[in-house]
Order: sequence, then structure tokens, then C-alpha cells
Amino acid sequence: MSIIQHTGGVSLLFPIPTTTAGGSTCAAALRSLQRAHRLQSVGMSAGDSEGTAGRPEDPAAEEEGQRQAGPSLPAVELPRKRKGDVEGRSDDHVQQSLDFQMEDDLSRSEGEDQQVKMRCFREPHRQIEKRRRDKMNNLIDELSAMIPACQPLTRRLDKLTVLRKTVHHLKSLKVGGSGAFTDRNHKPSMLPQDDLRHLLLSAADGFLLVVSCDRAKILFLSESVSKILNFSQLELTGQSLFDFIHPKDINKVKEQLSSAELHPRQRLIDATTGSQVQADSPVSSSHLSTGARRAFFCRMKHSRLAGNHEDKRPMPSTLKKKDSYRYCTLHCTGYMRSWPSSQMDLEGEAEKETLYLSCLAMVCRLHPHVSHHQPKDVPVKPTEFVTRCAIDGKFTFVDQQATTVIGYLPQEVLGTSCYEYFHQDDLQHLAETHRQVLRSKEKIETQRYKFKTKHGSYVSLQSQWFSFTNPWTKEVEFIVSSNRVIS
Amino acid sequence: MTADKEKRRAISREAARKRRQVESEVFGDLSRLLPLQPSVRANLDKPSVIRLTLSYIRMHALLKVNSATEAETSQSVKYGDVLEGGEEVCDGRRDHGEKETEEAEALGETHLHLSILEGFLMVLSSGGDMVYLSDNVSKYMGLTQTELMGHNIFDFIHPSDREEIRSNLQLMSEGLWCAATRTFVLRIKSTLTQRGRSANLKSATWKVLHCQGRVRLCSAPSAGSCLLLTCRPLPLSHTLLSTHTFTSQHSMDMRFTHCDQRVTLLLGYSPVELLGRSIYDFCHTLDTNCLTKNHLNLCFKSQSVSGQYRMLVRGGGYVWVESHCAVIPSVRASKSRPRSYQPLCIICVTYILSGVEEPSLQLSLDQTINRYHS
Repeated sequence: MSIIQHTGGVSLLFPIPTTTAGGSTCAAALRSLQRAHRLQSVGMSAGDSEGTAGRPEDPAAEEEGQRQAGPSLPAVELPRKRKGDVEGRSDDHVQQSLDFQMEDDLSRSEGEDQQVKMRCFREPHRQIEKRRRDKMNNLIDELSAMIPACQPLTRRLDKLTVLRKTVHHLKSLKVGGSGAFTDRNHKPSMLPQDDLRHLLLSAADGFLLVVSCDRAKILFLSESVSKILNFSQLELTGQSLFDFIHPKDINKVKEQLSSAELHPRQRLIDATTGSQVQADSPVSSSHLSTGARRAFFCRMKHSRLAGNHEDKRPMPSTLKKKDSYRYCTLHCTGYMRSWPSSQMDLEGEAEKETLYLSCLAMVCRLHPHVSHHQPKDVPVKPTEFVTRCAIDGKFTFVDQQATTVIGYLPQEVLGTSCYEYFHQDDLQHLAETHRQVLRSKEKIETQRYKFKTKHGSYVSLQSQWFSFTNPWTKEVEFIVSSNRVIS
Repeated sequence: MTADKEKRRAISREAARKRRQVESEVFGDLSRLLPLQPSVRANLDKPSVIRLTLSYIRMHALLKVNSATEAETSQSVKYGDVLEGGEEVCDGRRDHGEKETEEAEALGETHLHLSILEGFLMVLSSGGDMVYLSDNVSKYMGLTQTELMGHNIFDFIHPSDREEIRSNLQLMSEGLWCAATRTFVLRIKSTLTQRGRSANLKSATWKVLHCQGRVRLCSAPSAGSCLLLTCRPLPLSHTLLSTHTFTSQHSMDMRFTHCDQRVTLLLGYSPVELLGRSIYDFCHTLDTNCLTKNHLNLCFKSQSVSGQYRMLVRGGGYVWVESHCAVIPSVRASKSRPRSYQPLCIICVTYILSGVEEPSLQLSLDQTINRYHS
């Protein structure tokens, strides 16, 4: 692109631009002359290679050149490469070519020896440009794969055709779409806001919730609440939040809503230093910067009524059964906010006396680690139990399932050595396995062995043992054993 | 050089010029069709225009599939109906320009959502291309939406985290990662400096992000499946007034070195009796893996979220908890504060998720031992 301008510049020998000083114009003229020279020696094949990277330093000269070169063409405010620009930062080679260009430009003014220098630069420059072209071609290929109009054609289309078809495709997309970004007011965004909202809600697996602080009235919920709690947005809006919270969590939530702490005594722990620092205003937008940060977990009711919404996704198996509701654990994070009450008048309910209505705006996300929330979901069958032993074989943890198998309550066994319960015949094998497991990082399966129950009889068990190695010290700390009954 | 040769050269030069002009023009058209701010648009080079176009088309295909499958909720309360406070929705009433109002309401809601989420949205293709990023990404990574969109995430993450990302990107294969939800911690380049200014990519630092999201599968081949993620930095924050959290400090092997007093109310142990004991001694053995993963994350990435695990309560029973942890670099003692020396350690903020379950059960020695001693 720049070459066009320069050759154009050469032939017209630069009408003096009004905006630049005479000196720089001369320099630019000199530069472009030299560039034209170089062009001839390199040959036209490399012409395109100047492309985006080689932008002349004098914008006035360039503009002038452009105008002269193609008066019939509309001014294209396009691909110009600037130093420290987008691609330059992320793609080293573009940056390199830029640096090279800079150096090249500098060398221009030095007269004689520049020819020598240029010869040195030419080779890497060609490689750089080749890489750039390859990259461009890859992008064009990718583009042609995405554009339906380019699909049926088996032969490779040229760049310009692909680009033109892309333009058409984009236009057709816009006709179908909302065309929202032609709006004058808000800045254009890559996605229609409504789509972004949908994406956000489905990615987060949660919903937005705005609750007033004084009476915990639900002021706003995003519609995605129906997927999480199986209550519709309308059912919940205007209700008291406390009616939908696990009774044991009500105090917890009350505490979080207490607006006395609107301006926080909160502390943030700076992760890089460990010192507790006073939190500064959380969000830069004035709109939202009013209050303290809140982060807590609470359990909320999940409606069991079927058909409340059309979501066919199986309910997480994790919800708790209690009364007619189950509960799901939600992680709520957000900020305290206050609105001038005048704005709430539209709702008709806000008291006129209160100057500010404070509320808590938060994102509630379904807790992801739900797979073992219910004791019954513990992946242990009734005939299996888990124990933890110290390195010497002393029981330090025994789960409750053990009682059904060995008859002992966990606290009866804790602190005793596992060897007390082994049958004499198995001692040698088990001791050997014990030694093995302390050396190995793998899980090791024992043979079938006999374990003495509380009633004095023996039960046949088979166990899988593994030693826990502390990730930091690399030392074995204990042995975990999962045991199952062999009948 | 003959005059003929010169002439031919001039002709071809002219042709090349024309060609390039036409090309620039098409690029201009293309970039004008992209929803970009004029200032951004003016600074785009040609590869960037294509990169963004690609992302735009991919995103469009993705959303088209979505809206076809998703049932529209007709009777939904819009954000603006309830909270008329936002500037965006002041006077745009329902009756005129409904579409516009809806768009503005959606804007209000997404704006609110993104700001209280304290993170950004990322859509990843199965190949790791960042097909979409919400525009607040610059607040977290320093790089802007238009600089990042269309690039591959592998160019921006810590080399050691690549394997983990790769396994998380396996969207459809059987096995462990088949589940639709994803939670992981990764380190990504950030050009933000301590003072909040943007630096060069070469001097980027690693930022730890907690990524949560889900897989969006789709059968149409053109759109492809993707991973929807919200990425948030992990601030170790808690409101001091909350009685349902406690903070603790651990040595790097997870032994307690300090714990605040609230733990007594929540778990029954006094801070003193926890000192020197490993956190592994106080968790349910079935949750050892969960804590080990958390511990490994801390060792390698310096920040982590434990996920849900059970902590044993003194005297019997257990509670479900989640810990948010970070490694704190060692602080050297200075002359002015000779006692400030602090070795490398881990700080945890532990949230209590449930009440005490099975309070009559004593499962571990550490749960009971102090009862017998005192």
C-alpha cells in the first residue's frame, strides 16, 4: 500500500503539504525516492510485501500521495500499521518487521552506505514478509471455509473474491440480526446485548438477584432462575428472599444484608503480599460503586413441581430433600448498592422518607462441586468402608459404614492398630503390602483377608491401599484404605 | 533499460496499484461492517480485520443455533421494569421503540452482571480459539477485546497449564471430562502493571483466573461446539462480619500456623489446638483428593478454590465447606520492622456451606483426641 503512495509521490514530486514543515517534506521525498529505487532493484514481486508493516513516517506525505494516486477512489481509512499496535504486540514477527523498517528508515538519511545496509536487511525482510503472507493466506483460507458462498466451489478462490463474499455474508447477517450497533448512543459491541446476557447466564449456571436490604424483598431476578430453582421469575419477584432460603441459613443471609455495614469494615487480603488491605471502591463505574463486597454461600429452595418450566435437563442429583422442597447450594457474590428512592417511586411501594434504598445485587451460582452433597451419594456401597491409618497402621479415621461391616463404632476403633484385627494367617501378606504401599505411589490391592469383628467372628475383606504423599514435602503422611466385603 | 521494458513495468505497477486499492477498499468495507468503535477500527491492520471477522461469523453461527434450540420465555420480567435507576433506561418507555428499550435493558442487566461477577466471559472453540470475550476483559488482562478475540488461548496461558486446558477442551469425548461443567484454575498473561497501567505483552505477568462454565454442544458442523466460561481473578475477600467464614494460615504442607477465633464457633476447635496440625487430618478421608488437587494448584499456580469438602467437627459430625486459598510470598524482615519476617505460607478463607451433619458420629482421631485429653 505504501509503495503505491510512494511511487505516486515520486512521479508527482510532492506538492507541498500545508501541514508539514518544508524540511520533513523534503526528507519524505528523499525517502520515497530511495524506496522507489529499492523497489526497482527488488522487483515488483515484492511490491505487495510492504503491505501493512511499512508505513511511512510522515502521515501528511502519505495522505497526499494517496489523494494523488487515486482521486476517483473513496478514502479508505484502513489497514494501517502503527507501532505498538494490536498485531505488533501479539505477533513478534510483525513487530520485528516494524523494527526493521524503522532502522531502514533511519539508514536512509545516511547516504552512501545505505545500499550496503539494505542488502543485509533484505534477506530477513523477505522471510518476514513471506511469513506475513502465509499468515494472511491462512486467514483467508479459514475465512473461505466459514463463508457459505465459498463452500461449493472446489477450486481455491482468490483473496479478493473471498473478501467480497465475506462482505456480502456479513451484510446478510446484519439484515437478519438486530442491527443494534448502528445506534448512536451506546458504543458498538461485538455481540447484541441480549445474546451476551444469555451467554453470561448460561455460562455461569446461575442467576442475578437484587434484594432490598431492609425487608429482603426480591427486587429483581434474571429469568435464568427458573433453570436453577425451578421457580419462575414472576413467582419470586416481590417475595421475601427469606421464604426461599434454608431455615438454617436465614441468619447468615440476614447478616449479609445488614445495611449498617454498607460502607465496609470489609477487608481484602492482598494475594501478593498477604497483608490485609482496605478494599477500595469495588467497581469503577459510579453506577455501582456504592457498597461493600459480599461473598457467601447459602441454600435455596428448589421447587419440585414439574412443568414449571420446559427445561429438560435432569436436575442435579445433589439437592436435598426436606419438607416439600429440596435445597441447592448457591455461591452468591455481589455488592451492596443504594438507589435514590425517587427512582423507586415508579414501583409505587418505596417509602418517600427514605432517601436511599439499599440493596444487595449479586450473582448466585449453583455450586459446581455438588456430586457428594448428600451422604447417600457417597460413592461407597453399604458393604464398603473407608479408613485412614497413620504410617504405623493406627486407625485415625473410620467412616460410619464400617459399623455395619465390622460391628465397631468408629470411635471404638480409632487409635488402635489395624494389626489388632488381622487374622494371624494374613499378617505376613498384609505387612508386606503395608511396606509396599509406603514405597509406592500407586494404589495397591491386597489379597482377600480376614478382619475380626466386634462379635469375635471374622469377615472377609479385600482392600485397596494408597499412601498419601504431601504435595509440598513429598513425605508420606498417612495411608487411605477402601475396604469391601468379599462374600 | 529499454523504453519498452520501462513501459511494461509502468503498466504492471499501475495494475498492482489498482489491485491493492481495490483490496484495501474491500477491507474497508469489511471493517465497517464489524461492530467496532471508530477509534479501534482505524487502528486495525488487515490480519486483524480478518481475525475479528472470523470471530464475528463464528459467534453468529453459534448464537443462531442457540436461539433455535432455546425456548423463548415470553413472560419474563426485564431488568429495566424493576430497576428504573439505570441511566440507560430512564425515559425509553415500552410503547415506543420497544426493541431499543429491550436492548437497553439487556445492556443494563449485562452491565450489572459483568460488574458484580468481577470477571469476564470467554467463549472457547474446541481448538482453543477465543471466539468471544466480553469487553471488560481489558480490566483483567490489560489487552483489549479486539486485540484478543480470534487468537488462540494457548498463546496466552502458562506453558505448564496447557495440558489441563487441553483436557478441559475435550468437549465431546467419553470419560472423565464428559461432564458438562468445567472448573479450573489457569495462569494467563496480563499486561496490567501494579499501578493498573498496561504494559507491553513481552513484559506480561501471569494472572491467576478461576474459570467456571459449561460445554455447549451443537450438532451443526459449521458452528461447532464451544466452551462458555466465566473467568474471574481470585480475590481472597470476605466480609469480616460474616460469622460463617474463618481465615487460617498454613505452612506450605497445609499445617495450621494461625487460625482466627471464629473457627471455634464453627468447628469447635480452639485456634491453639489446630496449630501444627495438617488440614488433611481434619477432612473427611473421601475428600482427600479434593484437597490434594487444591494443594497442587496452590503449589503450582499459587491460588486455588478447593471446591466442596467435609471438615470434621470437634466432638462429632462434619460440615461442608469450601476454601479459597492463596500462597503468600515470604516477607523479609526490614530494619524498621524486624518482626515482620514471614516465610512462604498459604492463606485460606473457608466458607461453611451447611450445618453440622451426623453430629453423633466421630470419624477421626483428631476429632476425639482433645476431648479425651481435656
